[in-house]
Amino acid sequence: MALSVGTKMVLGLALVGSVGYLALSDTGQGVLEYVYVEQVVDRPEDFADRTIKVHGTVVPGTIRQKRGSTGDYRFVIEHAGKRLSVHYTNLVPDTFQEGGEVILTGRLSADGTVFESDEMTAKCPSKYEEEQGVDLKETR
Amino acid sequence: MAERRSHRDLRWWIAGAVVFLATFAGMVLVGGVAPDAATAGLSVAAASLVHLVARLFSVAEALARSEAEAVAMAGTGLARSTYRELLEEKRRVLAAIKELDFDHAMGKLSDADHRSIRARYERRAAEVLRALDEPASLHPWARALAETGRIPGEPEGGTAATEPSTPLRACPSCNGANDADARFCKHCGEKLAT
Amino acid sequence: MPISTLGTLAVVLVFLSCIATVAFSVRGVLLRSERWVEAGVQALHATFAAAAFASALLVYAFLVGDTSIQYVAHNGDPAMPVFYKVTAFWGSLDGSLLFWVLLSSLFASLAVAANRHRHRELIPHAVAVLGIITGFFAGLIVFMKNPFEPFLLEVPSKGRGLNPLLQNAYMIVHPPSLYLGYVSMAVPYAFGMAAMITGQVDDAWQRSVRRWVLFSWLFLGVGLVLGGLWAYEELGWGGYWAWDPVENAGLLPWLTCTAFLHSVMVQERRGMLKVWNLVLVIVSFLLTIVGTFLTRSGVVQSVHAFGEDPALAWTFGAFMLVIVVASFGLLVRRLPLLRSRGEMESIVSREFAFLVNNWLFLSAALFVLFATLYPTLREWAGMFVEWAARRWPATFGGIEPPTRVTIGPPFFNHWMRPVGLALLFLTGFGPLVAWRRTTPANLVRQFRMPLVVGSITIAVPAAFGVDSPWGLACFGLCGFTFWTIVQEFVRGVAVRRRNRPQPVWEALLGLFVRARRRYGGYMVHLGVVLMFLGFAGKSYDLERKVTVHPGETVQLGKYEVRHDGLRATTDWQKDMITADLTILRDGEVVAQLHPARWWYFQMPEQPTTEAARYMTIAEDVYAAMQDADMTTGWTRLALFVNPLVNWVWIGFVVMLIGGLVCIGTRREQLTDRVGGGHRG
Repeated sequence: MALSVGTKMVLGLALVGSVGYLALSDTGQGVLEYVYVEQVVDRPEDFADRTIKVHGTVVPGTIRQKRGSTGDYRFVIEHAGKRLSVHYTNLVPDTFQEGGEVILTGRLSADGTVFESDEMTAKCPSKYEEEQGVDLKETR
Repeated sequence: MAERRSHRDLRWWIAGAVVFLATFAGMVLVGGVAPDAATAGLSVAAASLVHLVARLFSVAEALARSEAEAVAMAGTGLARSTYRELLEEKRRVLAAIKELDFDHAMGKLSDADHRSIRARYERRAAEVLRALDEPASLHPWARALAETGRIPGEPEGGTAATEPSTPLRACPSCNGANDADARFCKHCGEKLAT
Repeated sequence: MPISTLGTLAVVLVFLSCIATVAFSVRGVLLRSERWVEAGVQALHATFAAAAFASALLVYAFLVGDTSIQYVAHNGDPAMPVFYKVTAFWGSLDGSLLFWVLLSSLFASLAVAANRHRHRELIPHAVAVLGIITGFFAGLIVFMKNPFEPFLLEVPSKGRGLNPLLQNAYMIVHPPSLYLGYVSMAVPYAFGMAAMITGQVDDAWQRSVRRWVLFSWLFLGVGLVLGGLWAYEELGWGGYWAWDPVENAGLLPWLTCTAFLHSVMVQERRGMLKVWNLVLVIVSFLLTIVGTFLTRSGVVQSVHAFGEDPALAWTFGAFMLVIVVASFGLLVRRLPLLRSRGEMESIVSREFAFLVNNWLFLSAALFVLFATLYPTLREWAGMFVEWAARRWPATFGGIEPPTRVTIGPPFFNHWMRPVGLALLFLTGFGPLVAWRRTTPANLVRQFRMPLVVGSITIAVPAAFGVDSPWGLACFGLCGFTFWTIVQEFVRGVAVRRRNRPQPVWEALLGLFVRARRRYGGYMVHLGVVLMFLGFAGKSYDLERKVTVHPGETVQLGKYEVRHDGLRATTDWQKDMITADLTILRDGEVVAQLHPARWWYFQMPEQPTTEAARYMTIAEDVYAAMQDADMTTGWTRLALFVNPLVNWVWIGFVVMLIGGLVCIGTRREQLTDRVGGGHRG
């Protein structure tokens, strides 16, 4: 005696229901678009009101930090000749430095000129290859 | 045979250890090298080189053997291993029956299920025990091989059988199956032509 | 002869020996010749010997500091302690491939020696498959990534040293442990393939491999947990699991191994799920290769890393394709032999619980795999569109290439949390229901108490102010499952004592001795419950980022953290700044914490964070120093209270012990001796 059709249908519905619920309740929080500086600068309207990741190089000499505050930085990142001002409000990872590559998570300000970010992944200029696949960049 | 082989393995291990100590002692005492980690590392490398040579020698030895010799060596291993496998099977079936009773006692199995599954295991246990009691207990496949000439579940032209190179021969007087190289029938004791 | 030449010869010998292994075994099979089969087996042993020799040479090169070898120059440093010099062997790509080959040939050699006379028909096939797998990696070494490659022009005088981040006890054990797990999966796969080639797809092959899968599963688990501990203590962000591609790569085969360990039981008892078991072994092996690939090639981290070594990536890709085609091709060919003996009868049955467990594990593995690879796949699609647009502007010119995306922890958590909780539920539910079907009366009898306990464990945290529904569900299921395990033990002991009066401890011990696998399994489940308890704690953790000067105190939940000052020190490899913190609770000093930042001389521009924590059973107070100024003394700290986090590690230890109980001792030898005596 195998499972009855009714049982199978109930099981199928439960499966579809739970997957559907998960899909609907997914706010897309973890999935972020990943763009380079020039894409944002060229078309800021495309990225308004959304959390995105921006990849660029920290322009040397532009890092300004509010002394004594818990991470309040302003700096400029560039890529492919375009530049973008960043206001970063969090602790910086160990690997953050001038001339280094960073990937910032955040949103564009209302006027589209400043990128407000509070999460950063910084790459070191690869002096060490990524041995062991250890994610040297990982930080919160 | 298996014992002899494992003894030989042991000999190689001892040889490796001796080479390690000899290299280490020789370099420190004769060569005047510091007894540091690098020296130990070199000694390990030397020992593993000896092991490598031994292993390569074993390959050559295996290739140099005649087919008949290889089969004979494999055969003795087979008899032992079949016996061991049967013992293991016995242990497993008995354990399964115990576990089944236990499940039943804990109320996880209906009476009817318990009866039918237990019966199946009991049949299997009986088979295994009978096979163990036979003096030349045979692996089920080996038995099937003797009876049908092929291993169950193996499709035609399959490549599995390495044993068929030991054809079984029938005794002229009692018609019992004997090994190819047997000189006397193991069933009636009649002398077999060689 | 320089080490580089000798070593290169040794790795070439490994490669040739693999080829010989495969050639001899195939010839043995084709000619049905015992002699060639034996030669193949011996060649497999010789492969291991050659790999051991090559490895010994490489370690020696590190110990003696032979910087004429590129790999040694890049990863060795005469100033490193001996221990790190030895472990530098697998510190980077080329050496780790040699380590792979060493382990793979060792396991192949052991597995074949153990089964040489047990499943004779399978042996030559298994040997050939193992030879191919080892040979692939040996080939990578010989043709692409030879760790013995010498410098062609000038020889640097001093090595650069092992990456300081990896000079850490966890990091020394973590990669080899994952490696042991990855590599040992090749054995079950080889026996599974041998079973399919010979057509002997019944249970014999599984008997040879169940222990190996368990072994693989254990080491993958150890590797994953140590990786988590490392991240927790070294990276300073207060967590242990970030769904990072490298972590995921280890998790995937662990998930499918777990599924396999459950579904073999169904095949043993009911003769069902035969195809499924083979699929699981194939998929697990494939995932270990994918894992090696992901961690070794840098494909996922960045498209640029991929660009650096496309040849390696393509070779891996081709190898994986061959595995997929060969394995599933064989499986399809053998489908008629794999027909199931039993049938599913009710959804309230043990086999159905197992089946759902398997679906969940496999779909979790595939989901994580896809989500891990998705950004890379999308990137490739983008590259393809760009390339096509250049090539055929007319057709593809107008198409916008897809933008790149990243997938972060929130996405994984969203999808995996319910799967994890469903599995936790099954952990409690499965072992209590009967095979075939369970009567409603029995169901009530089995689940009345666990449900009561589950409700209590929801109500109590809720009363204490935990308001996350997932957290509460997790607590409830932990209570439920915990009680089902307790109940199993209590009833088991009761049955034993009813059969024969004996003390409780003896009955308990008897359970473990008599039904090692079952009660070992329950212990693993207990470990799972404790780990989930740790995960549940995450739902009410606390995090603060503050700037403090010496003498100041900050509030952190019910704790106070006082900054007592900064210290600057130096040792042979680094400068250190250490903060002295005092943790107070209700005005009482409970602990001193010393978070620090280290600047290694080798990479002064990239300091490392050394977190410190105050551990209790209930929670951790965790402090990481983000920045410090020696002149003014201001210090930026990340402070966390991580409730129940230590239960993750405790649970894992319980799980490990349970797993070892399942693997058990070699009881056969004992039986053999007894049996042998009886026979004589």
